[in-house]
Amino acid sequence: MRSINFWRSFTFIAAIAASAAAHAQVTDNVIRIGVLNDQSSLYADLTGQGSVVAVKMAIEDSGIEKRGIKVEIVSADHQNKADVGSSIVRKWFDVDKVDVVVDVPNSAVALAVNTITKEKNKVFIVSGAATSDLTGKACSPNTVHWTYDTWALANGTGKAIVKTGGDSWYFVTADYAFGHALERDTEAVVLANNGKVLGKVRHPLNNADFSSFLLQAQASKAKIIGLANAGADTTNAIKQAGEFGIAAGGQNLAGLLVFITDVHALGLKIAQGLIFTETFYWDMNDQTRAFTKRFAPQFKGIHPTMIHAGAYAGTLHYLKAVEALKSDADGAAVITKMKATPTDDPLFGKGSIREDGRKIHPAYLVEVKKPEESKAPWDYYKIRATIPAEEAFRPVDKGDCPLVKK
Amino acid sequence: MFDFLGIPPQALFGQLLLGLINGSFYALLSLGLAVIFGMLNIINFAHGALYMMGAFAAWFLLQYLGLGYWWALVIAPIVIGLFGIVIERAMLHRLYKLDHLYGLLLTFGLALIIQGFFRHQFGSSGLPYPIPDSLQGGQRLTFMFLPNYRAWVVVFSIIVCLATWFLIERTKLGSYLRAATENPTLVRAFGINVPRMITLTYGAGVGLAALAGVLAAPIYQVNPLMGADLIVVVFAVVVIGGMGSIMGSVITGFALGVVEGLTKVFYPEASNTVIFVIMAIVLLIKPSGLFGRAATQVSAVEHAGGAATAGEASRTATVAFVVMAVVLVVAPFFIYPLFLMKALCFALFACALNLMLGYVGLLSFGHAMFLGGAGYVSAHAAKVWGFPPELAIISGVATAALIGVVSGVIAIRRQGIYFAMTTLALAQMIYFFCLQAKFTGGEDGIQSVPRGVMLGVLDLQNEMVMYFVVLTIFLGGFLLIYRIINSPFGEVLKAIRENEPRAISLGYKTERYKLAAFILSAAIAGLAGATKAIVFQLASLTDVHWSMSGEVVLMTLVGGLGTIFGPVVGAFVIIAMESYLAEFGQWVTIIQGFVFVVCVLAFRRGVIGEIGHKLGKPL
Repeated sequence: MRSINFWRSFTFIAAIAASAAAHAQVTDNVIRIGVLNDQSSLYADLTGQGSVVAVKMAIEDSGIEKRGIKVEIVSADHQNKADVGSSIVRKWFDVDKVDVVVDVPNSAVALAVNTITKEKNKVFIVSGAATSDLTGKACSPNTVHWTYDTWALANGTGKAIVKTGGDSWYFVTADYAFGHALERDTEAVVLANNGKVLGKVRHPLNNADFSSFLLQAQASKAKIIGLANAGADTTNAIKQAGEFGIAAGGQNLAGLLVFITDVHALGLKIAQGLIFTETFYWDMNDQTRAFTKRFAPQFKGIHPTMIHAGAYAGTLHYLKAVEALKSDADGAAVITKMKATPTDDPLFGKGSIREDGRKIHPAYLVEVKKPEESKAPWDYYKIRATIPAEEAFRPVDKGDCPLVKK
Repeated sequence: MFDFLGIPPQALFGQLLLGLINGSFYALLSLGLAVIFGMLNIINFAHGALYMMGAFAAWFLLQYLGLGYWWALVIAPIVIGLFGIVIERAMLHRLYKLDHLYGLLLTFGLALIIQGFFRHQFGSSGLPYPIPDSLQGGQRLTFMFLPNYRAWVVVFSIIVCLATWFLIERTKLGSYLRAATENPTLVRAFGINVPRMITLTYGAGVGLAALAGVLAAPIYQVNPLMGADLIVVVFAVVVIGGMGSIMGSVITGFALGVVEGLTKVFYPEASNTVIFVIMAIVLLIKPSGLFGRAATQVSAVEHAGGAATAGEASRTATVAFVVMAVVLVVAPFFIYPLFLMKALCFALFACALNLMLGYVGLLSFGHAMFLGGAGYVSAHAAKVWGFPPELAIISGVATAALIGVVSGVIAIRRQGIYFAMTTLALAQMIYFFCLQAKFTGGEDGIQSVPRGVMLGVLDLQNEMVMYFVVLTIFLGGFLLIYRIINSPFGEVLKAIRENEPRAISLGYKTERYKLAAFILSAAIAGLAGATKAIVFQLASLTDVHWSMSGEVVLMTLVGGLGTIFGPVVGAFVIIAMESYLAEFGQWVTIIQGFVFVVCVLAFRRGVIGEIGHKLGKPL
C-alpha cells in the first residue's frame, strides 16, 4: 500500500511530461491568453477569477471566434510569489504556446513577467499591478500598462483634495516600495499645489492594529490623513479611524488605493465620505451597467473593479490588433499596432496608448456615498470630478522610459 | 511639561494604553496556545485559523440568526470549541507520543485547509462587523480619545485570563489537569478519565482563540486571513513567557503589547520585528522563557534509517544514487527544464535542512534566511557588481555561511523547540533587514539578474546548459552531504542525535560538532538559494519569509526525515504541486494542507522512508 504513493507521484510527473509534450505539438492557429493573478490571497476579489471572466467576455464581444480564429484562455495563481509567477509564465511561453499575459497584480510579480515577456518577445497587458515603473525605468516594447498606476492615483487624489481645502497632510504609509511610491508621488502633488505635509509614519505590511498610528496622525492636527497602503491594511485603518473618532475630530481620510470591493467589505456606514481615484466605475453609463449585469453573476455577485474592466478592455484591444495584423507571432509588432490604433471600448471609451506603453483615459475622483444616499446594492460612489486623460497620467517625458525619444 | 525622547507625555500615555489593549489579544491567544501546549504537548499552529473562525462565527450569528455581539461572545467559543474537540478526537490524539514537530505540521496543514475554505466561501476582502451599540462612542481622556469598545476589550480579557489561571492553578480540576500532564498513567490509576480531560482542554483552548476572534471582529475586518500572520507572533509570546506557563504567557502577552506600542512611536517600521528580537534575547539568556520551568525534551522523530549493515546500506545508496542521476540527466528532454531546475534548487535546500533535522536532530525554523540571504547577495553581485555567475554563487554561499556562523553561535546551545524558535527569531531579523535594506529593492526584489557566462565558456542563457550546471551543483551538494553523513564526523552527529549526554561522556565536544554541521547546512542552503537566484534571474522576499522555512520542513517530512533521498523526492512533490496546481487557482492551498494532514496521519516516514521501510533498507 505504502509504495503506491511513490508510484502515484511518479506517474503524476510522467503524466505531466506527456501532457507538456502533447502541448508542444499544437500549431499556432490559436491565440492563447494567459491570465495570471492572485486567486487565493488578498487580491483574489479585486483580480482573481474575475479577470478570467472579464477576458472571456472580451473574447465573446470581439466576435473574433465567429471569424474563424480560435482563442483559448489559461489561468493560474501566482500566490504573490515572484518566482512562482515567473516559472508559470516561462512555462506558458515555452511549452504551452501562450501569446499574451493579462492582469498580474503585485508589482514584484509584474516586473518579473515584464522582463520575461520582453526576452521572449510576447505581449504583456498589465491591469492589476500598480507600479508606475512599468512605463518608467522598466518600460518595455512588449508591455502595455492599461488601467492605473501609482502616479495616477496620487495625482488624482492629491490634487483634488488640496484644491478643495485639504491643504495639510499626514501620511500613514505601508513600509514597502509600493507604499513609499504612493507617498512620494502624493507628497509631490500636495507640495506643488501649495499644501503642507505635517508628518508621516511608516507601518509594517499586514499590520492589524492602526490605533497607534491614527493617534499620531490625530496629534499632528493635519486636515487630511493619507493612507498610502492597500488591501486589508487600508480597510483596517479606515475601520479603526471611525472607532477613534477621526472624522468627528475634523480630520478626513484619503485612501490612495481603494477598490470598490474594499468599500463593499467595509460597508457604507464606515466607508462613507472617503475620497479616492478610480479609472472605472460600473454605474457610469449604460454600457458599463450592461457589462456589469453580465459580469456579476459569473463572479459571485461581485461587481467589476477597475482591474477587471482593464483586463476586459486590454484584451479586446489586443484581439483587434492581432486580427488586423493577421498574426500574433511577433509580440513587439502587436504592441506597435496596439499603440498605433486608437482605443475604443465600452468601458473606458475612446483613448490611446503612448509610446512608453501607458494607456491613457480619464480618471475619476469618487466619494463614497452615505448609507441613505445609496439606492441599491453596490451603489457606492458619487463622481466628484473627472480628470481628463491628458492630465490623469504622468507626462510621457517624466518617466525616464528609454523607449521615449527625447 | 516634560518630553520623553521628543515625545510629549500625552502621546506616550496614549501609546502605552493602546499597547495594553493590543496586548490583551496576545494574552488571550497565547493563553489558549499555552494551555494546549501545557496539557497536550501540541503546538497548535491552527490557532490563528481558529481565531479567524471565531470572528466568522460572530458574523454568521449576526447575519443569519440576528444574534448580536453579546450572544456571539457566548455561542461562538462553544461552537468553535466543539469543532476543536472534533479535530482532537479525529486527528490530534494520535500524535501525543510523538515529537512536537508532527503536531505542528498537522495543525499547520489544518490551518491551510480552514483558511482556504473560508476564502473560497467568503472572498478575500473581508466582511464588516459593527461595534455593538452599547459600546459605541468613547471617553475623552486628558491624553487621548479612548473608544469604549477598546476599554471593554482590555477589562474583559484581563478577567478571562485571570479566571483561566485560577481554574488551572487553584482548583481541584486544575490540579487533576496538571497532574495528568506530569504523569497520565498514574492519574488514570486514580480513576480519572485522562483522554477526555485532554479533549476538553483542547476544546477550551480553541474556545479561547474563538473568544479572541469575537473580540476582534468589531475592530478588524472579519477576514479569512486575519489569523495567518498572527500565529508566529503569538507563538513567540508563548515562548518568551515560557512554554506551558499560564501566567507567564498572560503577563508576556500584555508586556509585549506595550513594548510593541512603544516601538510604534519610536521606530514604527520595526514594530512587527521587535517581538522576535526580544525572543532571541530571552532565549539566549533564559532558554526556558521568562516564567518557564526547565523543559525536558523527548524526541521521538521517526527516523527511517533501519538496522542494515553498513556495507549493504552503501550498496543500496549507490544504486539509488545512480538511478537518480540517470533519471535527472534524461529528465530535461521530457520535462520542462525550468521546473526541474527549481525542484533541484529546493531539493538541495531540503537536503541541507535534513542534515540538521534528520542527522543532528535539530529543527531549524529559520533556514529561509540562508536561502534568501544568499539569493540576494548573488543576485546583487551578478547584476550590480557584474560578477560572473560562478563568483556570484560563491559570494552567496559565503554570505550564507557567515550568517550560519553568527546564528549558529547564538542558537546552537538550545534544543528542540527552543532551537527552532531561536532560528525563527534570527530569520525574522534577516527578513526585516532584507525589507529595509536599499539594495534588496523592497518587495519588488532584485529583478532582471543576468545569468551570464559561467567560467567564461558556458552560456547560461541556454536552458539546457543552465540545467546541467544546476544539476552538477545539485549532485555536488548532494554528494557532499552524503559524504558528511557517512564520515566519522557524521557518525558523531548521529550519536549526538541519539544520546547527547553519552556523546559528551565519550569526550566529544558536541556543541562544536553541532555548530560545524549547522554552518555546513547553512552554506549548502545558501548554495541552493544563490543558484535559484541565477536560474530565475530574481531574488525576492518570498525566499526569506518564515513560510519558506516552513515549506522546506514540509518537503523534508513528505520525502522522509533522516533519509538521504527523501528530501529530494519531497522537494519534487511539493514543487510539482506548487507549479502544476497553480492552474487550480484557489484550491492550491487547500490541497497542500490536505497533503500535509494525510502525511502526518498516515505516513510519517515520508515517501522514501516508507519505501525504505518496505524494502527493509535505508535509502
